Amino acid sequence: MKNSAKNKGAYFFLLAALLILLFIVSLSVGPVTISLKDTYAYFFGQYNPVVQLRLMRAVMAVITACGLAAAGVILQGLLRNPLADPYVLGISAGSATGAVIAIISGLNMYIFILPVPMLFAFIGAVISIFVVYRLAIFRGRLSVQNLVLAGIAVNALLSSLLLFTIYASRTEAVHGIVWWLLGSFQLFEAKVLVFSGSVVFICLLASVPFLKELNAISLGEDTAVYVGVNVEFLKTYFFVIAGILTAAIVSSVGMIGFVGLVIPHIARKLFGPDTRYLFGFSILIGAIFLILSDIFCRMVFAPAELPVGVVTSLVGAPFFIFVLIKTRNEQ
Amino acid sequence: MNELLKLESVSAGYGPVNVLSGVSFSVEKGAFAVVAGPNGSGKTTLVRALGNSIKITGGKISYMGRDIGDFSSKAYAREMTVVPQESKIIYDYSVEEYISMGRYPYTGFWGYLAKEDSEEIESVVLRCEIENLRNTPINNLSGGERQMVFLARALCQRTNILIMDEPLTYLDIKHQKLIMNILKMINGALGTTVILIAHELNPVLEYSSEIILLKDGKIFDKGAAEKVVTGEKLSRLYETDVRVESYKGRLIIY
Repeated sequence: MKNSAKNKGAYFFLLAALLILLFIVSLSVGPVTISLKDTYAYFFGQYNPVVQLRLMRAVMAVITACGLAAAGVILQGLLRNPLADPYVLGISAGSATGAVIAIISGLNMYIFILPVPMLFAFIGAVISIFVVYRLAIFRGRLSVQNLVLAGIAVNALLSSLLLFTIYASRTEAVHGIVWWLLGSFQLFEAKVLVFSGSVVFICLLASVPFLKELNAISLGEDTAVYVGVNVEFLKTYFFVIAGILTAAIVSSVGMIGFVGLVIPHIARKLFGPDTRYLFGFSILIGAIFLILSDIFCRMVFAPAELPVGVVTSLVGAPFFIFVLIKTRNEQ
Repeated sequence: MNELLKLESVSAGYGPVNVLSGVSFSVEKGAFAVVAGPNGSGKTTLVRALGNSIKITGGKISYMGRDIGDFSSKAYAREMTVVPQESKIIYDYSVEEYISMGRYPYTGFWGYLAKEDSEEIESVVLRCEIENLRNTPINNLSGGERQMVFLARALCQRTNILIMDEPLTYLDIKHQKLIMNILKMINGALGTTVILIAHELNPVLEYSSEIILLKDGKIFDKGAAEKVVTGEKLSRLYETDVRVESYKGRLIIY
């Protein structure tokens, strides 16, 4: 499967078709079942608040998959480490801390179209990337092992800071913050969806032309330089993109683990390491996975709802183990 | 002027530590230069400085009279490339995927391979005798096959200068000869200037047109093999008793 471009094309369309199907199904299933006919009617002007809410959720799930899977592919390629993702490297914790500080300080507002928590989340992401990156530089060169260790340390530190901030806060917002931190696609404002969607879309567009360079970097920085890639520029470029993607997602839907780490890993096992394919396949597989997770979240204890972050790990981890065992047996 | 590459008082290193200091030499077009020296003498740092993967901290490196820092990354990769010491490749690229990255400096914005790129890859694959390995994941190769594939990637770049950093380490005699014969062929037939970093001089001496010896980040000696490779000099360089004898017109170091 890995080596045939034709096969890859066929699988891509198959997965895309599956995603569209699940997307439509997700609009009709839930604590209240809406018939496919009524769902269909919604798109022709017949307003239905349940379908509208679910549509927003489904779109947000796709945006989240785009953001997290893309950030995972970028970081794993850039750092030549299949364990790299926005969570392991502390970028998500940085984003979440930034967003929580904004919310608790009463800055849950917009500057024009820009949500202030997202701005803070981005600043948090950039600070954590910068700190992790600086800690990982040894004798002027980036050590990949140090980077992961520094990420784990920064992650732990920020997570405690985050918990302390929530604990020390006496505002009524605490419940909302905890709920949001656990991850949910339940959106109350379409503005969040439009804004984070646009940010993610722009980041994806900005990444695509440089995926072939990411391939070269994933072979080793020296080799990438020797084939003519401007490694120093692209490292900064992709770190900023990964930071923006993470900030946009974390500030909108909270901390949804597993997607950035495991989805690219699964896609790589199935379709090979070429980043140009990996990027698209990771996004598709991630979107399918998140839509399924979201359906599961609202069905299993209906009418109560599980945080999607819990489900992604619960469903994702065993699947990941299954893939690992399967590929080991094949080898 | 045949001077292709010129180093003037070059210093380079990592962070505050300078590994190379005041290194000056030049390499002429079509030369087969061998760089040797004890462990830690700065050979790999020199390779990185020449390949522009680290910024030098002092002095100047020029290629055809132009500072190498003035070249764009792609333009420089069309003139010179490096096969670094064997490094671990994390992801399982196939041999063909790996080799085709050598055509990157010739591709446009989207990186698609043109017909001539595919033809170039094809001819290199045949020359390196790795046709049957095309679809093999690179991490499933033996040490010798891997080094061939690394060399093939560099050959696809069709550069004027090819630098190889200790390519013969861990290779059996057959693969050592294969690599050296390809280098000899491109040096002779295509006029490619070769700079070979050698851990051991014996297998490479007969191919070299000049030898550059490094010690403690400085030039210890340089010149033709007959002048530089003497028991007295090598003993001082490696700080152990080294002897050199001539056998059937070839220098043997032991």
